This record gives sequence, C-alpha cells and structure tokens, in this order.
Amino acid sequence: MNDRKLLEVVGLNIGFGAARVVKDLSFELRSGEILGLVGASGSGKSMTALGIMRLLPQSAVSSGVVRVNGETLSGMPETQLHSIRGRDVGMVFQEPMSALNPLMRIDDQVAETVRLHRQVPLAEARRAAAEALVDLGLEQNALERLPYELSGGQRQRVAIAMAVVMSPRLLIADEPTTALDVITQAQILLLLQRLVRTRNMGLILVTHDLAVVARLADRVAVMRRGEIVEHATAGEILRQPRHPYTAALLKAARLQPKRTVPPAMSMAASTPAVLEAQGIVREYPRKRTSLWHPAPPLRALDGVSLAVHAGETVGLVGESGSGKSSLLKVILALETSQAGEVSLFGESLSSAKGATLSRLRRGIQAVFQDPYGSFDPQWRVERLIGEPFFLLASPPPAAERRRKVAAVLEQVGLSASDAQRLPREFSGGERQRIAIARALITEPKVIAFDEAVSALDVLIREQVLSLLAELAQRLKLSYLFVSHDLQVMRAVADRIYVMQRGRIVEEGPTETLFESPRHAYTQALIAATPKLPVS
Amino acid sequence: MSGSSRNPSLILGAAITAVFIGMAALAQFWTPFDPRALSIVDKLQPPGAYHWFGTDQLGRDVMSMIMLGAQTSVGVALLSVVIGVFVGVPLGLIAAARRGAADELLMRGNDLIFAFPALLLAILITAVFGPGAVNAIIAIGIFNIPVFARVTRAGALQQWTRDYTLAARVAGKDWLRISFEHILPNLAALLVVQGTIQFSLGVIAEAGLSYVGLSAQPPTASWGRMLNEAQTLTALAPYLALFPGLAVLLFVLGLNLLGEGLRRRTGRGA
Repeated sequence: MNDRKLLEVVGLNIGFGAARVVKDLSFELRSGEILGLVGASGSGKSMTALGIMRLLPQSAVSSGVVRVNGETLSGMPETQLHSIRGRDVGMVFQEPMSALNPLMRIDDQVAETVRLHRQVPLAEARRAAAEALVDLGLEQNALERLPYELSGGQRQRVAIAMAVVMSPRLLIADEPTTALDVITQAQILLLLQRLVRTRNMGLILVTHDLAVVARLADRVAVMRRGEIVEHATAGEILRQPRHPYTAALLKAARLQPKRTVPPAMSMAASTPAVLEAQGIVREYPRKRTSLWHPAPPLRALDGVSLAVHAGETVGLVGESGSGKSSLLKVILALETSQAGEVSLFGESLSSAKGATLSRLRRGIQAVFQDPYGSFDPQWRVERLIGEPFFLLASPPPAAERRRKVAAVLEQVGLSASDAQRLPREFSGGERQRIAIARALITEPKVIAFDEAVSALDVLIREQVLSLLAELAQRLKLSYLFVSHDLQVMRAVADRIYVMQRGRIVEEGPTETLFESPRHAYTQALIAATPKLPVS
Repeated sequence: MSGSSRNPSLILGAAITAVFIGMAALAQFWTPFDPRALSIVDKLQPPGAYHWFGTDQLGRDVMSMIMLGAQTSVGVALLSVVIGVFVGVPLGLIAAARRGAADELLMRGNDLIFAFPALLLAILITAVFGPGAVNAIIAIGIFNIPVFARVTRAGALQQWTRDYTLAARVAGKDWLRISFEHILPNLAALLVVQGTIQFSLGVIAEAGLSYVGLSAQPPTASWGRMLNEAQTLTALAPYLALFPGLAVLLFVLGLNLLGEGLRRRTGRGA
C-alpha cells in the first residue's frame, strides 16, 4: 500500500434549501484501500458519493474541496469533469438495469465508455471491452446480449466493467449488492475485492449493511444525519466501537439467534397444525412462442407442502424467484393453485367460498414488504386498520371500531391519536407497525409476513422484530415468516423451510439447519450470508 | 407547499375558464341585448360604445350571441365529458382488474371507436337522427369513451401493482369493491386533468360540428355557426368572424392552461 493520497475530501457540505444533508465532511483514501461508508437511509452517504463525483441533483448546493489524484474537482468546469469521470473515477450504482442502455449490446456499451476517453477504432474498443467483461466473469458467449437477457448479478458485472474498463484509480460503489440475492452478493463482493487488490485501486463502498463492510473494508466511516460519527479501521469499529451510535448499529445488526426452548419444539410437533399446505402446484401460463404448440407453463410451485403449528414461527427462505411469494399468495387464498390444498384449523381454505372464506380469512392475516406501498395513500390510519372488519358478518358500530383500532395501535407501540393521521405522515418503521396493527385487528391466529422487515434500517428492524416476538407470546400467535435474509430467519424462526425453484429442498429446526445444513443449496446460502464478527 | 405561486398556468387557466363559464351562466339571466331580436336598421354595425362587439347582418348584437354561444359550448363539451367518464372509467377499471380476455375485448373495442374519426361519427349520427346539440353531445361523448378508458386502465394497472390491493384482498374484498374504494379515488387527480383536456377538445369539436351545421340548430346560438355565417361577409365586416374565433381560441387556451397547471400541481396525468 503506497502512501499517496488518492482522494481527499475537505469540508464537504451539501444542502437542499434549508436542509443540510452532508455537514462538513472530511476524509481521505489511499490507493489499494477500501473505505466503507455506512449509515441508515437518509444519513447522507449516497449524497456524499454523488458529491465527490459532482453528480448532485441541480437543486443541491454544495461547498468544500474534493481532490482526486491531486486534481481539484470542486469548481472544475463540467467538460473537464466528463473526462475525469470514467477515466479517473468509476462509479457503480445499486440498480444495474437503470445504469445500462436496454437497447444496446453489453460489449458495445462498455466499448462506448472506452471510445469516450480514448481515440481508438471500434474494433479495438470492443476488444478492450470483451477483455474487461471476461475478466469480470462474464461468459464469452454472453457478450453480445442485451441487458434484459442477463441476470441481476451479470448486469452488475457489466456495470462494474463499464466503471473499471478505463482502469480508474478510484471506484465508488453505492449499494452495489443491495438488489442482489446473497449468493450473487458474495460473488460481487469478492470481485470488487479482487479488483482493488490487483489494480491497486481505491474503493469507496457505500452501504447500509455492516456485514458487507465487515467482509470487505479496511476502514469504516459511520455516518449519521450528514456527519461522520466514527471513523476507524474496520477491526476497531467492529470490535470496539467508541461512539454509542456505532455500538447501537452493531448490536442491532448482530441479531441474536432465537432461543428456542426444547420443550416448545416438542410441543409444536405434538400440537395440531393450524396452517397446512399440501402438494401445492401453481403454474403460470407463458407467452406462446410457436403458432402450433402452446408454451409449457411456468411451474412456480412444484408440489410444496408445509405446516405451521400453534405458537410456532416458521421461516420460509429462498432467493427471489424461488416461489416464496407465489406460495404465500396461494396460502392467503389470493391465488388458486392447480393442485394441492391449503387448510386452516383443519378446514379447507382452498375450496372455501363466501361466508366460510370470510370466517377463515379472519384467522389468517398478512403483513407485506413495502411499508410505502401497502397503504392506500388517501385513507386515514383508522380506516386502514379497520379494513379487515369487512370480514366480519356484521361490522361493529363506529364507536366500537374506534375503540378496537385504538387498542391495536397501542398494542403495536403507537398511540390512539395516530388513528386520524395519513400514512405518509409516518416513518417506514411506524408504517410497518400500522401494517401489523391491521393484521391484528381481526384477532387472527396466524400472521404471514412477506419480507416484512427487509426494507427497514437495522435499528428499526430490531424494534419491529422484538415487537413481533412479544406479540407472538402474548397473543399466542403463529407466524409464517417469508424472507431471503438468513440472519433475520435465524433470529425469528423456530423451524425453517428452504425453497429453491419451486420446491422445498430442506426443512428443519433453525439451529440444526444452521449448524448442519444437508442440502447443497442451504449450505451455499449459509456460506454466502455476510456475517459480523462476534464481539 | 401550495405551489400555485409558481404555477402561473394554473391561475391564468382557471381565471379564463371561470370567465367563460361565468359568461355562460350569466347569459341564462341577462344579455346586453335580446340576441334573437332582428333589427335590420342596426345591421352590420361595427364594434362601438353601444354594441361593443358590433351587430351582424340581421342586426343582432354579437356580444349577446357570443355569451349565449358559450352556453352551447360549455353544455355540449361538459356533457360529452360526462358520457366519456361514466362509460370509459368503469370500462378501464374492469379491464385493469380482470385482465385477460375481458381486457382484450374491452380495449380492442376501444381501439375500434378510437379509429373512427369523430367528425365521421357525428355525420353518421346526424344522418340517422338529424342534426342537433344532443346528437353532437353523443358523438363527442362516444369519442371520449376510449380516451377515459385508456387513461383509467393505465393508472389502475399501476395501482394494482401496489401492496395495498393485496391487503384489501386479504381483508376479503373483491376486485369490484377494491376498484371503487381504492383504485378510483387514487385516479381522481389523473381523471380531472384528462377531463379538462377532453373538455377543451369538446369545445373545438362543438365549434367544428356547428360550423358544418351538425350541432345546435338556429335559433340556438353557437360560435361555430357564427363563424360560418361571418364567412361570406369577411370583406365587409371582419369583426363578425373575429369575436367568435377569439372566443373559441381563448376558451380552449384557458382550458389547456388549466389542464397543464393541474397536471403540474398533482405531478401526474397525461
């Protein structure tokens, strides 16, 4: 590692109107070094990354000095900045699809970057592009494809190829793996690490995920409300955080595995299943590609069976596209399956209609992933939470409704006065509490959670998870918890089902599954999950 | 954020629209002169202090006729928007909620109507039922149906992808109820913007139809027919064409500004 400063940021300020999102930020980076810029959403970490590149939105006002390789970027005219971006500094964003031109072959896109900075014939630029893409792990025969023909991980490789094809000294990656599943995430992180080591680049890794930083970064800067609250080597931050905020973040990120009392296990097995799915097959029609033969349907669920016993939290893990969400929709009777049956308290939910269906539905409610999309933006909280009253044969009178809504609001840690507010007035964590309140209002026995904490920051996630644990105990609830996040699973579930390509490949008590996974896919998932060192 | 201070098109558009609608309402009770009173003595008076906009070849007061013409214009355009909304919006909601065959059937039916020029449709209706304001309303209204159906379907499809529709289904609500309780209220802003735009197109269409004699018949005043009648007298009395022409132009401009202003204010719309 040489001692030349690759990047120097001195007194960087960024503001929008009166709001200051980045306050007097200073740090530096040397060649061959990886700096993790960590913080919750809204901490100003992404704005800092954009500020370095002078790519801020027009409404932003910034001041301070940014020097790359001794050249001062602040105050540099836009035309000169163009030649710096891409040549000296590369950038990778969270969503690779939006960074790529959907109508252009990927090798041409990378070649275009080459030709922007170097006067070379197209053939030579293409050769350089192909070399870069193959070096980043794309197959030779994939080079002529269009972005939509690639997987998320492959697209991110293309985006990285575009960023590094000119061999920049500095790479800025803003949440580069957040949109990817764990196994692909592990591969991309490894790739970034290799690039930094072999090319002696500097890397700024912007992320909300401390475990990602722990895996990769040499130094870590923790941001909160536009300021760096702690800046030290990764080892120091992770083992002996000095600032209380860092300590709180770490504690929340290091989810404690659920302590399952052995008797509870045996009890769960002996009690009858409250929710049972047997041999579920769900097929989706595919677009016809031939005039003569209908396309074979896409089998999203291929004979899936699972059971949830009274008082048990069951986890369902798998990556995106494994069929988790389809299964949940069948279980909630939102979609019909081609074969198999779902039963609730021993009664068939799949074939229920009318009043019976309403009665059964009262017993199973759901919380969805997106805390912003799961509420009608025009309804007030009281009406939103009261929506499942529709399932009752005779809806309670207004006063009774109001009392019940107030009661559930208090149960989830909000106040009764929140009932008259609109969903947009709440933060992401509070909205998820409202969603839980809505699920509780009909006093169900089972609640299904679809990635219910995936969109939350670690501190909020910890609070929501402990609320769920408390509610489960107090109200004797059973949970079906769907997630791609193994860490979360380990913290909430008593028993886990692992799903891959529409089938359950492994099932078992949480700790057994984590300690001795049998199926190769489970092993790969567990190995790929980024872990924080134990303090 | 009120936004109206930085949204001049909203203020200007609303003001112009209000003036014309106010004028149409006022004409119901009062006009400067009786627009139907013929007075050959006063014929072809140029605009002046007594007759502000002058008089036509039969001595009728042009300003009074413009005011009454605004009634026809607003009435026809408004009712045709109402037809478009009441038929098109439910069709769009059904297409978005049911997808599949229902969607195909409804939307291809819409394409069929859309492919038919509005004027041709008006001539067809007139040929069958005879000319008149009511038939103009029907012709323009039919033309509005696919417009509203498409806008509604596009907006509703987007709403259906959001998790709150799943939550409503878990609460046992069927697609019809969700469409009316959740989807439609969230499309209101979009539809108001589209309604304003269709209103302005309706004003132009009404003027065009009455110009060729397919809309309101005499003695009902109408801007399009005033233009038609002024045509032969352009050399003698150009103001006869100027005022109804300006009325159409200003009203349409005002409505378009209003639509644009509303679109910018709600941040959505066509």
